[in-house]
Amino acid sequence: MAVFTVNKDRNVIPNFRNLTKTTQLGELDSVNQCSVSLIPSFHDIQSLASDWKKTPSLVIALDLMNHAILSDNKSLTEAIEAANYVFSHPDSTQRQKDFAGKFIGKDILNENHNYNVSFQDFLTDENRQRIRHKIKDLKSFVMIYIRNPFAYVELARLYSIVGNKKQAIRSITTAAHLAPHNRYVIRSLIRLAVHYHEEDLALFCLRQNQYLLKKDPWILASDIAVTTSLSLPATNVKKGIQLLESWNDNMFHISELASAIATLELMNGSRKRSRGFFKKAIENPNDNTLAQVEWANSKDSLLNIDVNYEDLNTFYEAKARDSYLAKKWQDVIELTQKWFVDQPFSKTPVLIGADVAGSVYQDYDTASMFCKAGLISHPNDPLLLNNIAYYHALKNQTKEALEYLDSINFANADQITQLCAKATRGLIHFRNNQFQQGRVLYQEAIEAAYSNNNEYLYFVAYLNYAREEIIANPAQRQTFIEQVEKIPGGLSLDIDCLKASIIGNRD
Amino acid sequence: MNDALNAAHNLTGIVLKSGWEVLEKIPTDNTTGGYFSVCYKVKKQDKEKVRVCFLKAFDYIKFFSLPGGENIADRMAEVTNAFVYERDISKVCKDNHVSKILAANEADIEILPEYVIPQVPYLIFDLASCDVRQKIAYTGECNIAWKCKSLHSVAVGLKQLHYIMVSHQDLKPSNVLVLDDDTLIGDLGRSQSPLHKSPFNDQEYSGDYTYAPPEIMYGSYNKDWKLRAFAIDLYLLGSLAVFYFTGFRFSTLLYDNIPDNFHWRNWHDSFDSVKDYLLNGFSVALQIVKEELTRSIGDNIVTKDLLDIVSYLCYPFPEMRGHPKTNLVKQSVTNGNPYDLERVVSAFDLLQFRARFLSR
Repeated sequence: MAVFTVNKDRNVIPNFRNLTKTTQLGELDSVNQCSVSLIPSFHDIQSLASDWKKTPSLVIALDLMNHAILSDNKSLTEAIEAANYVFSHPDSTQRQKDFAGKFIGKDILNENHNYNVSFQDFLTDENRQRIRHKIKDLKSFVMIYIRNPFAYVELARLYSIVGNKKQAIRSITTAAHLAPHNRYVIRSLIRLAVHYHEEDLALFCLRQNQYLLKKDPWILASDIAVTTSLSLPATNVKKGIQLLESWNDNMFHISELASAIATLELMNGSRKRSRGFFKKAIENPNDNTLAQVEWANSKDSLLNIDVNYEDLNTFYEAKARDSYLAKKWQDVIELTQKWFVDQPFSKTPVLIGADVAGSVYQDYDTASMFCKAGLISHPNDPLLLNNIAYYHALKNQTKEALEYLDSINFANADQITQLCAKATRGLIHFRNNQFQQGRVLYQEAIEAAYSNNNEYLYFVAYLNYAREEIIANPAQRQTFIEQVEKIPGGLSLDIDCLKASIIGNRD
Repeated sequence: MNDALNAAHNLTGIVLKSGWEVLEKIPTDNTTGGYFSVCYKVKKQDKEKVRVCFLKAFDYIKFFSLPGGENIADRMAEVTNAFVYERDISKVCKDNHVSKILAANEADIEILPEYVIPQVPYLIFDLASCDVRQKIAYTGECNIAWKCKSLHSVAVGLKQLHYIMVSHQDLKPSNVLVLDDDTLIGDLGRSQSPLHKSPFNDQEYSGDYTYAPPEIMYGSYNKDWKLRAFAIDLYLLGSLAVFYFTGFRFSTLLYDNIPDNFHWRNWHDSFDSVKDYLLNGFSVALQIVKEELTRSIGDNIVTKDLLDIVSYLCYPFPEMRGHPKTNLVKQSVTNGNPYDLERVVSAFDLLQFRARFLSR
């Protein structure tokens, strides 16, 4: 049987994207609005323009174009003429033409560094090859520019995408040594450390930044989120609340902080205070905040915080969670794919996507594809391997199912995954017409779930078992259906779907 | 006032009391530098050869045609101070054997009593054949050896200026002049010197802001004049070297590789808080310079040396700028100057030698 942890607790741990995208989202903007007194006077452009008029040449055209770019004087007629001259001059180099093209709006390269790969493309060998090449290039880059922290952060991100934990942690630690007080570096480190369950590293980094914890709401939010996720005393909450109360600047900067405190309040049972902070958080939210709001809405239906998604096209996680609550299943599949491409090291979009594809649509190919996507960043993950084996077994591909199941290293698997793997092995036996062995394994899984007091697993195991017994021996259908009907609805999506499919089979 | 009544406009054909014969007027722009001056070509018999030079006469009548709103008294003081400073700093350069700076050879006043404004203060400079922009090219035969030699001369010129405690502040292609295949730095008009009364001594930066190093654009100034001003000159020299070989100023490449949020126009925080992002942009910009150098010069020792020089001259943080060994040694060795150009000049010297060798 497959298992999903869609409803697990969520905290406002920062997202980890590349520098360009994070910058575009505004998460690295300055929170200090101190004015810079300098108003530079770009006094010499007329002199250059005059030189250009007198003796037009490529070098003078370039000089003038440089000047116009740097002084943001792109409307000057002579500068436009000069850029056109560079663009069409036979002796200008390709890069000079590129700059001139950009200047006059003929961006011939049409450079888009944020490559938009689709979910399907992401799973291809070419994409993995491309990531490996990028890692290789970055390794050469940091050999020369050893002081550049962001190259190390990007290396860490790429290593995390291909599931190389050791190198990812090493790279992000190097970045933190180089730029110990940089928001992007700190937040990336926190995300990665939490992702790899190395929370000590995150806490150490945060404790080193007491100064930032006083003034930077982004770092403070991360601190509260990490301590909340570890159930540690949240020593900085008071500081956070004071900062929220005194904040009179761009609300975007305090969105995560308000959301982190709201989460803590929700977990402590104070819905009213939580709602207040969440409302503050969504005044000008980022995607992490909205995802948190959607999670909170699913956790406590009485919280009831409305989010308007009209202008928030790229907030995939939040929208996926919203669609999940609204039962717009096709949207969920599309959005989780985008969410995964946005943050390829994350397992949650994979599990949600597979859950919906497998449970709602019985589309085991898509469900299996989601899990295989997860394996890129989580190679040998027992839960994902089990789920893939389960989907293969349901398609009666028992040989492949067994291969995936046998590749699990049970020493690394938690109790739940071991229980699921046992049930999956039972399923494989059933599909191989080895009913007795299958029956024994299912019984063991059901009993283990019962003795662990895990209601969810107990029902899932029983429903899977019931389905197989009905297929194997249709005469017993009525007996099992009576038992299945006793299982309460609304516990989880997969239970409801399994139940519906079994009862539906009666007809 | 009519130019016919203005002595400064009527020097053609006369022989000045200093012995210079004024040949012809050279047209100038009405931009900041040229507004108050009238330029001529002049010649003088010097032993056996005829010297042709450039005369810059100050046109005081222009003060009376200033647009409304400008204070004539302030403007007059400003231009007069500029003239006096250029005259004095030229003398200092001559007295200290500064050979790579195009300073005024002579300064005098010509009196022509028949005109309403009879006094014409003037400066005489060597006549440059062109500025460096007319000499450089980027494709085909782009004369790498000459470029390296020219940069070496500029580095020597800067070193000579720093030695007499003058910071040029306005080093740019149009101020690098070619004279008989030699390269000289021109226009000391915007230079600063604590030992002399420069009109710009009280400014943090007196050059053109589009060439300025990042610390200036982000409003971070070292209060120590020497550390601030010499670091600026080093950046300008590095940026000039990049322009020689790529057609880009280093700042163009730097800011093109910094996200808009961190651009000095949009950044409202301290210089320290933007440093990590500048360093990232610097690495990428340097990578582009490397690609361009490899394309034009090839993957060889000259490219490697040149990139090395650019990397320490254009470093975005002033405290890390300059030759690494000079920056590391005790300040007493370099006379308290971490931006001492001695090693940089040696590096350019070696570079020009290697480039010459390579071109053979």
